[in-house]
Amino acid sequence: MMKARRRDMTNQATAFDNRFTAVFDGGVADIKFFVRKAADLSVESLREELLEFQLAVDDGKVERVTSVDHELPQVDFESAW
Amino acid sequence: MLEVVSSILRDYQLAHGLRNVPIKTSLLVPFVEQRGHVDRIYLEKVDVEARNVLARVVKYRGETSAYSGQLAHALIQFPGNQNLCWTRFAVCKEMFHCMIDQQENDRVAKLGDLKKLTELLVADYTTVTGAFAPYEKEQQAELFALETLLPVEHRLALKPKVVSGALSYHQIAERFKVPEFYTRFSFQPSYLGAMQALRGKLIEL
Repeated sequence: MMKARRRDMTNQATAFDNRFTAVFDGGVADIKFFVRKAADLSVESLREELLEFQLAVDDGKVERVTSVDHELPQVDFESAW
Repeated sequence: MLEVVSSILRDYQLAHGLRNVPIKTSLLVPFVEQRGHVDRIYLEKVDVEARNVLARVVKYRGETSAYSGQLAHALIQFPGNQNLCWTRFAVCKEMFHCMIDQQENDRVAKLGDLKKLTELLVADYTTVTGAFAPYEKEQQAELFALETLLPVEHRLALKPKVVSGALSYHQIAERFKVPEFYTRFSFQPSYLGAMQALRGKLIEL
C-alpha cells in the first residue's frame, strides 16, 4: 500500500517536471499563480492541482472571455446599505 | 511602492469614476497594458475543478523579448468553478504581475524556480523564506489587488460606520465584490494606517 502510494507520488512528480519543462521550452517567459491556501494544502497537492490546470489547458478546455465583471451592476459606494 | 496603485486608480477615476462600485477588474486591463511589460493581456476561463489555484498568469516571449524585456502577451486563466468575488480578485492580482515583474529574476521561467515557488506558497506565512523575488512579487501583487478593488479612499470613508458597528465586513465585501477575508484584513488599523501612509496623496472621491 505504502509502496504503491510512493510510486504514485513519484509518477506525479515526474509528470509535473516533464510537463512544465515542456511549457518553459515552448516559449513561456513567466508563470505565476493565485493560491487560496486550504489548511491541509501540501506541496505535492498544489503541484498536482497545477498539473491538472495545465492539462485542462492542453486539452483545450479554455474559453476566451472579454470580461469577468463587465455586466455587474454598480452603485455609489455610500448609497443606502 | 503603491504609486502603481495610485496611478491605475487615477486613470480609472477619470475614465469610469471611483464612487461607483464594484471597481471592475475587466476595466483595469487597458491601464495595465499601457504600463506593463506585455503587449496584450487576454482573459481565459478554464474548465477545471480548482480547489486552491484560483488563477494563473502565463506570459509569452515575443521575437524581440531578449533585447527589450517586453513580452508578447499574457494569458490570465481562471477556473470556472469559483465565485465572482474570488475570481475578480485573483484575476486582478495576476494582472498586476504584468506590471510589476519587470526584472528577469522576478519571473518564473524554469522548472527549478517553479518548484521553489510552490514550496514557498505552501509554507507558513511566518516562515523566513530568504529572498526569492518571484515569491515577493506574489505577495506584492496580492496587496495591489486589494488596494485597487477596495481602495484606502473608500475604506477611510466607511471606517466610522465600521467602527460604530453600523456596517459589517460582509456588507462591504458584498458591495465591493471582494472576498470577505480580504475586506476584514483591509480594515485592521495597523494595515489601514500603513497603506494610507504609503499611498500618500489620496484621490478625491
